Amino acid sequence: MVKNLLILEILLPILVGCVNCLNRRSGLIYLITSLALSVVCCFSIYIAFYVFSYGDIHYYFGGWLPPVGIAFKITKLKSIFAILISSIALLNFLQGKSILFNELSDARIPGFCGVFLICVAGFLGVVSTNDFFNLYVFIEIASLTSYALVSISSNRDSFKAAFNYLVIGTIAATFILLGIGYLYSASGTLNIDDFITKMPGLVNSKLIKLGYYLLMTGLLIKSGLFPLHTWFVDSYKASSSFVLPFLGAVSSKTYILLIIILNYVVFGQDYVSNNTRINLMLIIMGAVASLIAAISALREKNLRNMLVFSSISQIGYIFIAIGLGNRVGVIVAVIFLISNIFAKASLFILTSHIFLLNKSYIIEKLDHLKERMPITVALFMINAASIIGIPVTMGFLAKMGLIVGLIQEGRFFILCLIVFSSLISLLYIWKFLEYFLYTKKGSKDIESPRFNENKVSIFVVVLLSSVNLLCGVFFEEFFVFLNNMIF
Amino acid sequence: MMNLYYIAAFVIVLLCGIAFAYGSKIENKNPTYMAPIYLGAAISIMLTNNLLIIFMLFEIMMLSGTFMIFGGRSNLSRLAGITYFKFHILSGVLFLVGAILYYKEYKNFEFISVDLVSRLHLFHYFLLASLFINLAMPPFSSWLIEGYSATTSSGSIFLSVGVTKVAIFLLIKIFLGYRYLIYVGVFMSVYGILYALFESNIRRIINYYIISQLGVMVIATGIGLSNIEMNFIVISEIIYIALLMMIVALANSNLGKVFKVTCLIIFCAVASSLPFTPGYINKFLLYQNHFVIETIWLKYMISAISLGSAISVGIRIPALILVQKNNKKPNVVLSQKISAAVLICFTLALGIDSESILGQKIYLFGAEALKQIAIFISALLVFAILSKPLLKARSYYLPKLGFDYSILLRKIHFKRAVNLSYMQIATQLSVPRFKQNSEVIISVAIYTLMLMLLL
Amino acid sequence: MSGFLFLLLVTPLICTFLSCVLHKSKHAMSIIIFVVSSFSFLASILLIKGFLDIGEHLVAMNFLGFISMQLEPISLIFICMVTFLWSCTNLYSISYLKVNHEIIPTKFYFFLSISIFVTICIALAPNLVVTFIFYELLTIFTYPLVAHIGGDKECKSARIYLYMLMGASMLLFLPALGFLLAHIGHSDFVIGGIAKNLPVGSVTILFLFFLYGVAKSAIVPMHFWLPEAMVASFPVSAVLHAVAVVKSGIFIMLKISVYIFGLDYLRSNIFSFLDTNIVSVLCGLSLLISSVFAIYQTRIKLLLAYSTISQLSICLLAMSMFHPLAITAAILHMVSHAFGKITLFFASGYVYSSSKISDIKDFAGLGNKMKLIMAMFTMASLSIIGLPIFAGFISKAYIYYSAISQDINYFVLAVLSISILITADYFIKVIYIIYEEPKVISKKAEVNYSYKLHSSMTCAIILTFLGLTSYMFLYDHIVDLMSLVAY
Repeated sequence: MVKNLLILEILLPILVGCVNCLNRRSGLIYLITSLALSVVCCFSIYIAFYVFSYGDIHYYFGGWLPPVGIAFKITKLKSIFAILISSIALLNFLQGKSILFNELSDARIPGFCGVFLICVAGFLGVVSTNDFFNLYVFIEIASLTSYALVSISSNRDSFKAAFNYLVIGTIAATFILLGIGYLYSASGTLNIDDFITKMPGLVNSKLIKLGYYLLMTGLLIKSGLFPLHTWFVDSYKASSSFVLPFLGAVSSKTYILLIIILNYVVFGQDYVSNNTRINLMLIIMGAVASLIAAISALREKNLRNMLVFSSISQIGYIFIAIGLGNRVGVIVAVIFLISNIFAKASLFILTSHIFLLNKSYIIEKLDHLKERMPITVALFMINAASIIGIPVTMGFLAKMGLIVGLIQEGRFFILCLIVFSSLISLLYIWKFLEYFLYTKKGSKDIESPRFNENKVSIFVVVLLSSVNLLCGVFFEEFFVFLNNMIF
Repeated sequence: MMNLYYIAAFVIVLLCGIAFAYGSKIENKNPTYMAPIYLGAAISIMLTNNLLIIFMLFEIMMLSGTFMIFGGRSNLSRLAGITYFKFHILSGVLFLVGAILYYKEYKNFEFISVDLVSRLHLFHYFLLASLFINLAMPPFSSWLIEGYSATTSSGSIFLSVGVTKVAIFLLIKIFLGYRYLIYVGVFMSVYGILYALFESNIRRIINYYIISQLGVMVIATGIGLSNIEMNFIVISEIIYIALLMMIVALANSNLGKVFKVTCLIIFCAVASSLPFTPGYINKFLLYQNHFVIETIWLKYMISAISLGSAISVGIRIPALILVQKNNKKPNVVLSQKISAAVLICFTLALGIDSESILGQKIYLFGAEALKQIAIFISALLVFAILSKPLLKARSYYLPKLGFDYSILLRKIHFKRAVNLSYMQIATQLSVPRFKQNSEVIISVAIYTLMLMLLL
Repeated sequence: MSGFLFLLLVTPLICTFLSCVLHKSKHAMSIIIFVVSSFSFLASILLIKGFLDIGEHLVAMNFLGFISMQLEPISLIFICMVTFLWSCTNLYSISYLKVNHEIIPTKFYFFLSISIFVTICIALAPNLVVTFIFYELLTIFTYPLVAHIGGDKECKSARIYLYMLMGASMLLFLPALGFLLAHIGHSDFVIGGIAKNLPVGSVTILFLFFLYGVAKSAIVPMHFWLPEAMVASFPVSAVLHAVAVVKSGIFIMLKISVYIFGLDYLRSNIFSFLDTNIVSVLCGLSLLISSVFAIYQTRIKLLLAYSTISQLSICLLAMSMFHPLAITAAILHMVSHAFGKITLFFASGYVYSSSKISDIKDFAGLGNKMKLIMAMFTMASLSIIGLPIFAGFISKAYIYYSAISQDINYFVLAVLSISILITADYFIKVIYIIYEEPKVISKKAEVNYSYKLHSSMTCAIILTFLGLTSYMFLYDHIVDLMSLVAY
């Protein structure tokens, strides 16, 4: 029964999405989409409970067993991510009603909702699948729909950015496909579990190595690691503020999860550390990413752009953690992923509502925001604290774990770099917060009326922040949970 | 027994000083309130043997002394008080370090005399440095010159018998017989006399005289006179320097002819160490000592010091007072006359009947007496010859040896340089304060309480 | 005993709650908060008594079943001092807030109480990670008190305050903590220290990282935040930047030396330099530099700030001798300086409330107008210099005593003596100016300095001054308590 839920949670959004495109009434479509998303969320929660109690779930398409058939597999880690993806999608959708209806015309909303649902399905599929080619299919589904989501925006640059995203994303997908092809030709199987059993025999194969590198390159492009991040910045800058919390929080994080699974489960650290030099490369690029992105964020006067750069900086940290190559690294990377998903989603949601009410992202216009939107500013502070790494948030646990891991590996230079970049993150976040909290001399003493903050979005952000804070306070239990969760 | 004499000396000075200040209508009474604390602490130092308690009492003396100088409210008070404070903090810290090193060595703060033939320990150096600062050895003497000139004239009576005498007392206790002190003493005396020649403010001249007399006492310590003799020297210095300061203070008032002449003659005699004065007894004790008789240059040095002090102070100050133009000055009060008279009596008593304290025969009419008189007459001659330049009011002054703290202070503390006018002869008269005289009684009460606590 | 602990922790939280609830009647709020805070002092005294009854060196307590805390003599003395002086500050603020209307009582009491709560938590933390968490939180919660008024100057100074403190902890404290965790695995406070397993040769560098990372102890390169923090109001400067924040820095350093490194280990392994160890030399340098800076200040708050920095360096200098007597000396000095400095701040605040004078030059003649307050000001400053009748002498003499007790530490003797000289220098200037006649009779001379106007301020000043004078008795108790510490 549960196995069917696995596939249902992918199929349902696709079907509903397709049906949506046919209808015209935007209010009804919105309702149906929300219902579908909540159902998917419930499915994923149920699946996670099942996985934690009974172990991994496998689903074989059409009853065909591997290595012949296509399989789905959910482990503990993947199930948690499935919950995260679906819940962020749901929460984003719920709170964004006013923004959505503000940004798009009534006629385009059904199509948008349909595309959104298919995107969610795509990401869920990426997380659930156990087959290489299926993986590629779902990656493509997710990517195509995300190109579409980026382009549906009232921003002037959205077309160009989406086109850019399309081109680079297709290149990345091509790399992935090539990689998968080589892996298939070397091992003879597309099933990941089967591939794992075949790996020890294929350790010296050059084909495997090539396949691995190609696959990694494609996934790295999609995650937005440093030299390959330009599309990331442009597309997120240009996308609509409804899409940004979902895409910005979820998309690159899913690919990073894939990279983690690839490095630690599929190929295994023995292969990766001995035969490839990817760890060193990831660490260096991650450190450089965090530093340079932080410096770029420092120069930004636009709130949303600053948050995008800060995302890149955090992705740098995650890659350093992945590159460490030991268990500490994995745990830290997962904490970073989770905390970033929560914090960035909240921050982008808050930003979108700030934009909705103040009509501007520029720092000078957001002067003394505390008078107008006090709860928003308070929640902004809590989530920003998670990004900077202030204690009692998850971000602090992640940063601390990263430092411990780096010292254990003896990489002191990288330690210096990330410590500097976290200091810079304090600087660029605080610049904005200071404007929010206190009036500056140059601004006119206009009367700042108290805005009506959207109750739903506040509730959503409070939910996300409280999970963040709870995990930060009860960190011992959280660590136990993570240890249990990771392979 | 000796302690009793010391206490008596301090008490006499205290009471005379209070009576003197009480009578004065124009001066600040503020220094007088600190006087019992100051002198009470001085007495207490003499009664105890514990280095840590001595340190604490030094600090109390420093605080009260600083407030005496501040209370003077003259133009100099700010700078002088801060200088006084700083130098004494330095000496206090050095003393504390010495005391602690002593404790480390002997596990006890009680001081036992150590034989100085053997090597000096480390703590000795610190204690010596601290005592030198308290004795106003010339590189570190600016606190005395500035400080004692900055209080009221009656305040300077108290100050002059305080820290310096206590320091000499401690020097006797710890370093009696240390030969190098002789050279230090000679240096101090010569410095005092030389600088006194170039000053024209009588209060500053008398301060230099104090330094030169301290130098003589240091020479005596270095030579190693017996304990009784040294104690006598210190006690007599307490009384007669208080007298000299009082006479200088009297220069502020309108004195009757008889009183004026009496005072000036006594001043002259005491400062030049003529027979019948305690200064003569001190010189006699010095001349009689074996070591001085053997060391010829020291004998002549002591005579030279007598000559110099006669010229620059003994004869010069009375001359300056006589020559001074008659400004509007208040009349001298009865209490001031009485206190001056009492001190004169005690001085002369010490000078005439010193045998009861010393227990040895002093020849008041012997060879040394003739020598002193001869010195005095030659001083008179020199003064007569050089009277014109010596009596002229100078407009420059010799640069001080060593570190002149006041310049540094001026730059750091006060952006505008304080106008230190060395040319005024009497004290700066400030706004009259007519405080209740009952406050004086309260301070006396505090002093007696302290005395009883430590006895 | 756990009841007292509960009372101790709950009282600041109650004050926080009260400050929100009672915002209608501000005067009543001040009085009620003062009464409630005095209970915390009572609780700390009873806690000490309970600790003495148990008689162990280190007592671990479980609060609410899952929060573990640790009591030992150093933290008990610290808590006692903080709660007493906090109650005095609340008493002081009753009048201060009545007169100075630019301070908003709700915000003031809220953040003040929370900061005191966080300080108490720092004292009770069982390991260094928890200490670090609360250390960072202390910075965050004291920031709104520094930038209270919200003008440009306050914002700029508060920004430097925040950057400096968080920067030092991110760059230096956190990596050092990470190093500890990486090599030892935990950072619990244990008798005898846990540092024996560290790689040889890293002790000095690690200790220096901690020394400069805990920027709240204001060693010279890391001291810039303290003069900047003086834009806060007088009660804040008094209790936070003379007592709670800076003393918590010293406290953390003491705990690190005694319970993480262990005194014997430090004594034998730290890098020696100039016949004493490098930590002494650095502390001595900091002492001299900050004392010299203090001479040139013309504003009373900055003078007191630099004087605080130099006295803190004396505490660190005492600690750097690394034997039991020296630790006791450091704690004695910590307490005596706290009392003296808070009296000075209170007295200056009194002057400021009456006539808005904050420049030393304008203090002229106040000695005759406010005899009682200025007498206590004078005596407190004489105590800080270290003159015999007052408290500062006892603590400085104890430092001298500990310097000679094992091998004579000439460096410490010399530096301490020089510091006494320089301290005397700048304080005697202020004392003279207070008692001299003003040259120019300005309008400020007609201000009413009556005691009844600011009665609670007077009471608070008298209270702290009494603490100063009764230091003889306190000294006995502190030494008794410190003899229970096991090294």
